[in-house]
Amino acid sequence: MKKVLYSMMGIAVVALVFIANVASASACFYCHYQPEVPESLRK
Amino acid sequence: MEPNLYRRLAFYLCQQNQLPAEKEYELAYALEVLFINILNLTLTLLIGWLLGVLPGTAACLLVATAYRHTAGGTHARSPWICAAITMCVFPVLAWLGAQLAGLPVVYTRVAAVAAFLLGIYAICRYAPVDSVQAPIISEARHRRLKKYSYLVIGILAAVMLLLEVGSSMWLYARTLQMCGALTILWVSFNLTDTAAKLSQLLDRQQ
Repeated sequence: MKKVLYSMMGIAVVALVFIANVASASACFYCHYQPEVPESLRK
Repeated sequence: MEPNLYRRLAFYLCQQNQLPAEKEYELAYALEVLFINILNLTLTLLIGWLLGVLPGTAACLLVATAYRHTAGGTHARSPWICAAITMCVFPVLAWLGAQLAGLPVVYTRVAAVAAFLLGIYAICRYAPVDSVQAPIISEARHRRLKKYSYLVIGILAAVMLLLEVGSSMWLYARTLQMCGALTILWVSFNLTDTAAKLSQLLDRQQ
């Protein structure tokens, strides 16, 4: 059970990193509010 | 959701996966983007459904997402103002689209052509419009987003044309065409300086 939870968290992290990169690469993700993009993703 | 909650969740995920500390900011950013967009999307579709214009609202959201993704636009400082704007504007555009689609065909065609031309003009003049929270620093990225904005408006025009061709077989095509045209006009307006001033005015009311 712990192993499944651990691998699910790994998948969640990969998905979140992907979302962060896609969101920071676009001019706007979709809605009218833009959270502050972390320095490491600014380009 | 409190910004601290995103950070705490991101911190927990980083700890569990033994990631470097700077990843925490990226994860917190992704969580915030995800949460706000899902909440906005769900509430907007719900209002569209309550108004009886769910497919039109979904079409408006799709067009706005595609267009704003590359062209950008004005942003509110608060997620709540953003939610209020999104929840009001898109179902209203869908409702308006449904009403105007009942007019003679020539009006839908004029709206579609006007939206396309104004979209091209807005992209040429303003796109991509960034924000203080997400500045476009590199010149190459600026050029790339502008180029993609033209591509997106071209694709949207092609979809409009397909809907025009298909309108004899599918009754709902005219409504979707009108919804798309109105959304393109709205997003194009969001690229202008007037929209930025309006947004600042709304932020000051908070």
